[in-house]
Amino acid sequence: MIELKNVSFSYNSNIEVLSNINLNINKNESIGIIGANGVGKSTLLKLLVGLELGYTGEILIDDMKVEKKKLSEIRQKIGYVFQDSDSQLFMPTIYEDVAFAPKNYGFSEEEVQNRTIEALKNVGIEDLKDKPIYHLSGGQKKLASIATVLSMKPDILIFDEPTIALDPRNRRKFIEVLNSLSGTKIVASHDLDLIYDTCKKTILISDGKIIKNGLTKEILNDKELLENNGLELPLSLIKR
Amino acid sequence: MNKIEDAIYQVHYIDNNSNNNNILNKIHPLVKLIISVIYILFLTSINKYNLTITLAMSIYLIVVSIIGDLSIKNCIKRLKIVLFFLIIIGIANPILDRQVVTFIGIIPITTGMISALTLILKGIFAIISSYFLIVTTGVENICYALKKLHIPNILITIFMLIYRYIIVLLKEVQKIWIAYSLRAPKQKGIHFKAWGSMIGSLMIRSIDKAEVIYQAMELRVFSPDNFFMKNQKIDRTSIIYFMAGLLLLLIIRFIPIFDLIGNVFVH
Ligand SMILES: Nc1ncnc2c1ncn2[C@@H]1O[C@H](COP(=O)(O)OP(=O)(O)O)[C@@H](O)[C@H]1O
Ligand SMILES: [Mg+2]
Repeated sequence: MIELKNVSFSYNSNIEVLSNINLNINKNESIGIIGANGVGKSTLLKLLVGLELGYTGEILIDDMKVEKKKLSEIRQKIGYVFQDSDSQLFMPTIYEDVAFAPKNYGFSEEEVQNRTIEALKNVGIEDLKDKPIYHLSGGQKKLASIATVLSMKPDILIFDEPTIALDPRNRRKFIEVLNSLSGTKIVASHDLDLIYDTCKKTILISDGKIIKNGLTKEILNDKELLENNGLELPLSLIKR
Repeated sequence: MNKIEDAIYQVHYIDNNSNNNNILNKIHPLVKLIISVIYILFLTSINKYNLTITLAMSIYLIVVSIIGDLSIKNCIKRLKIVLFFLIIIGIANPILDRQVVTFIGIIPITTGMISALTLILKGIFAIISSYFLIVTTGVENICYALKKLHIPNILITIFMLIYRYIIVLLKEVQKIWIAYSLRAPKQKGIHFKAWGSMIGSLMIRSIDKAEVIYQAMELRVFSPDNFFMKNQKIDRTSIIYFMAGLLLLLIIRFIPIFDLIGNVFVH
């Protein structure tokens, strides 16, 4: 369902941020993308939704090439949750923010309302719907951000460093919500415990290349591999 | 810092209030928009020395504030920074234009003073009327009204973004302010020498932020055609409001009521 063939990308300079990426992600798979800071995780995610174009190679989403004229169609399939929730939420209240996508689809008012309420219920913040965004805590904002993309009913969910601003309790809550959601999920993070708890498969990136692609259990238990690539064993595995 | 937090809150408050159920909120957005535009056009068309007509234009604001249960006092409190700048601009006038027209006691009244006063009043009235429009209508509904008037999508989108951008800008100011005051704890406010670099970094940061927000909108398939559209009929109350509003505006703009009332007392 998601296919990358020989994908390379650089921002304006000659330095390649991603080089020769080959990757297949199947329907309903959950994939973790791990790697140290600056290896190109966010860039890879941006390529999938066409926030950055001008790559070489081929990216296909449901057999559609990611290019300018297909963007609107592709983006309807993908819910992208930003690293920074403040950037994701731009309407005055949670309700309006979650209703934003369905409204733009041109649904009837009833359908907009149904989708909005359903999305809010799925992340458990229905009671906050009329709160101004400005009054929310970091954890609530993250859940609200997820709701804003769930209301699109996307096939694919993408998360960029989702737990980076969350305290332990909100982090646990987030993991619960994430595991309860269906569909294809792609999570980029250097929070390896998060990946361990939510993703079946993992891709390890270093210097813009895929170093390893396999089962999360195997990759996250490989101490040497992780340390060679600027990462450490997940805490939950060290104790055992 | 508290002041900035207040300002952010107030911007949101404006949005929230437009969901309340008072009579004005139920009037069709298009009607309110047109009446407000006519008001501002009438206001700007007044001769700069005509103080009495300018004063009479406040009648509209008073009427709207009564119907809509809106407080002019709160509005002035919220917008005091903008009003302050208006006064600064107006004050230049008496310096440039010093022709004496009359005396109050021994104080000479110059044309510059009169034009300064009308200019400031016109500005204040225009701002209050726009504020009333936003408070009772909400930005999305104003966009919808603009769409009904066949304003191009690109302009409507820019209008909405500018409005959202105010919030982004205030948030960035707040962050910079906090970072600054943590490192210069003894100082009240920001030292003037730091203003230049601060404004520079504010610009860069908020442009970045605005871009990301636009991306967030695009990712959620922003489509002005669908987003700003909804089908609200212009009902009877709205038509009556329109007629009455127009009549009131015509009267206070073109009939010198204050002069007439004055004459009654003189004779
Ligand atoms: N907009 C941009 N313009 C130029 N270079 C960028 C931009 N965004 C990221 N980079 C660079 O690309 C590389 C990969 O960044 P990124 O994908 O954000 O990494 P990660 O998400 O893994 O931390 C970094 O070296 C970063 O400095
Ligand atoms: Mg990143």
